[in-house]
Amino acid sequence: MREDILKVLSKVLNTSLDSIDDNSSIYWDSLTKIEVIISLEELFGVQFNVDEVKFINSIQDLIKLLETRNII
Amino acid sequence: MKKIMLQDIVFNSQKRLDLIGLDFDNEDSSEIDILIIRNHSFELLIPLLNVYLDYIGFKANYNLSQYDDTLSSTYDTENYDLIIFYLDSNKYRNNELAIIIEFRILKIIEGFEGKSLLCLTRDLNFDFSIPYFVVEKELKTTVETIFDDRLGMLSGTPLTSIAISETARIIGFKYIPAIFSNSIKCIILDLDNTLYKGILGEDGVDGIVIDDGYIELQKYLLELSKSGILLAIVTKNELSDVEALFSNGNNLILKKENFVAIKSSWNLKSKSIIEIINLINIGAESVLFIDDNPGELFDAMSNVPKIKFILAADKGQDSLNILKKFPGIFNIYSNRENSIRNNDVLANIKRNELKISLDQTDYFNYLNMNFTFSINDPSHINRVEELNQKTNQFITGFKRFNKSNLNRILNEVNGFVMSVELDDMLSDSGIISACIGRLIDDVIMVDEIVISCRALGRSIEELIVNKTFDFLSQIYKTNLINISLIQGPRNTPAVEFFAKVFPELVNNTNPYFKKPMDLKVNITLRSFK
Repeated sequence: MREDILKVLSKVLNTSLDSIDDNSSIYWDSLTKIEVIISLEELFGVQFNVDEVKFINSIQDLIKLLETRNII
Repeated sequence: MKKIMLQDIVFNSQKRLDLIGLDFDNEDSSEIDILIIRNHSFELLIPLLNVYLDYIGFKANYNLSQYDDTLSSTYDTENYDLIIFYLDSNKYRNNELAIIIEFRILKIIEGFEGKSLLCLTRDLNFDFSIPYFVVEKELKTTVETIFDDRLGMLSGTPLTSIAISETARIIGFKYIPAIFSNSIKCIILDLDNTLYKGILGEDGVDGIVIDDGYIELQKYLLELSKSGILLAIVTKNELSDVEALFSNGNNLILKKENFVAIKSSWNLKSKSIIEIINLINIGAESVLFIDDNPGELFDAMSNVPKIKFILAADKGQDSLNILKKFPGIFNIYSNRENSIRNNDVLANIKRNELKISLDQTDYFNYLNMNFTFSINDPSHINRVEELNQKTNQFITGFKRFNKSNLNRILNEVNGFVMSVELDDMLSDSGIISACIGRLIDDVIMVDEIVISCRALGRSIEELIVNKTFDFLSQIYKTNLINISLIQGPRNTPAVEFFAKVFPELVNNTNPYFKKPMDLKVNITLRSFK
C-alpha cells in the first residue's frame, strides 16, 4: 500500500520513485496537492472531505490521514 | 508501435493514473504555444491534455492567465498558435452575459492569426462565433458525475476528476485536430475481424458474424461516408469471395458502392494503400487505416509515413468507440460541401481520365462547366471560412479568416468576400474558391485567394482567378490590384501560379489586364453589395 502511494507521488510529481520515501520533504503547491489527492482518491476509491485535505502539507500528513481513514 | 500498445488506455480510460505520463515516442512533434484565458483552474487538465496532444503530434507550451471572469484584462496574443478560453459558466449569473463574453472574446482575438477555442462548463444558450463546446453537453453520456462542489472549493474548478480527464480528451482529440484542420478524409478498412467477426476465406460468406456491434460500426461508417469521408477496403482475400460478400444479401450495412476503392490482393497492404492514396489524391496524413492485425498496421506505418491507424478491437462495438473519438473524425464545419464531397472526388477520377483522352476544347465542351461568382453572399460565409481555414495548397495570404472576421469584411463598405461555385455534368462541386479583400484608395487589395484542392488539376485555376479579378475590376471601377502572397510550407501551387500568370500583381500594385480565355464555360455573377 505504501509503495502504491509513493508510486502515485512519483507519477504526479514527475520524480523518480527512488527519491521519495515516507519522510521526504517535498514542496508542493496547492494544485499539486489536489492532484495528489484526486489521484489517491482514484487509487483507493474514496473521497476526502475539504477539512481533511486542508491540513495535508507533507507526505507524513498524507500517510497519517490514510491511516486514520483505515485505508492503509 | 506504442500507439498500438496504448490504444485501449488512451481512447478508453478515464483514470488519471492510467493516463498521466504516457508518451508515444513521437519524433517529429510540432511545438504549439497555447494561451489559456480562464476563470477556473486549468492546471489539473494539463498533464492529461499533454498525453492527447502527444498522440496527435503536438508538444504544448502553456501560458495561463489570472482568473478573469469578465475577460477584461489585456492580452498579448502575438506569439500564440492557439487561445483556449476556459470558462466556468457557473460564475455568470445569467445567460445574457454570453453576449458580453462573445464581445470580449472577439476583442481579444482581433488581429490574432492563430486559432481559438471556447470551453464552457455549462451551456449559456448562445451560438458563439468561434469554435466552442460545453463540457456538460459533451460529457453527458460518458461521465456520471460532472460537477463536484467539494473539488471546486479545493482546486478552483467545479469539474470532477473524471470530467477533467474527459474534457482533456475532448479538447485534444476532438477540437484541436478539428480547428487545426487535421481531418481524416479517407478511412481504409480491412474486412476480416474488422467489419465483421470471422475470416471470409475460411468461414465463407455464410459463416461470418455481423452482430449488433458490427452493425453499429458499419452504420457509423456509412454516416461518415455521407458526411464526406471516403471509405475504401484493403483486404487479403480472393476477389471472388469479396464479390460474393457484397452480393450475398446478408445484413452487411455497407454496400459495394459505398467504397471508393476495393483492393483485394495478397501483396503488402501498404502497396494497395498507396494506390488508393494516389487514386484519390490526398495526403497520407488524412488517411485512417483500420485493421485487426498489428503486423499489417506496422507495414502501413513503415511504408506510408504519417498514415493514422486503429487496431480493430475484438468486438465491433469497441472499435466503434475508438473510431468515434479518433482525432480528425469530428468536423467542426458543417455545410453542404461536406455531403457532396464524395461524389466530387469520384467525379475527379473520371475527369482525370477525360483529361488524358480529350484535348482541352473537347474536355471543356464535354464537362459543360457552370461557374457562379457571388460577391458578399452571407449564406456562403460558413463554407468560405472552412476553405480559408483548411486550404494549404492554393492559398495566398494565410490570413485564416474566421466567421466573425469574414462577416466584418462583408459588412464593410469597401470589403468583399467573393465565392465561386462550380458544377459540371459529372458533379456539383459546391463552393470551390474564395477571394477576400478590400478596396483601399482605388486599389483592390487582395488579402486572400483560396482554391479547394478538389478543384486543382482541372485546368480552371486561371479561369477562376481571371474572372474574379475581372468582376472585382468591374464592380470597383478600377483595374489596380495588389495580391498579398506569402510563401508557406505547402502553397507552392499558388506561388508558382501567380509567378507565372500575374507576377506583376504579387505584393505590388499594378494594373490588371484581362487574360484572353477561349474556353466554353457558363459564367454567372451574383452581387449582394
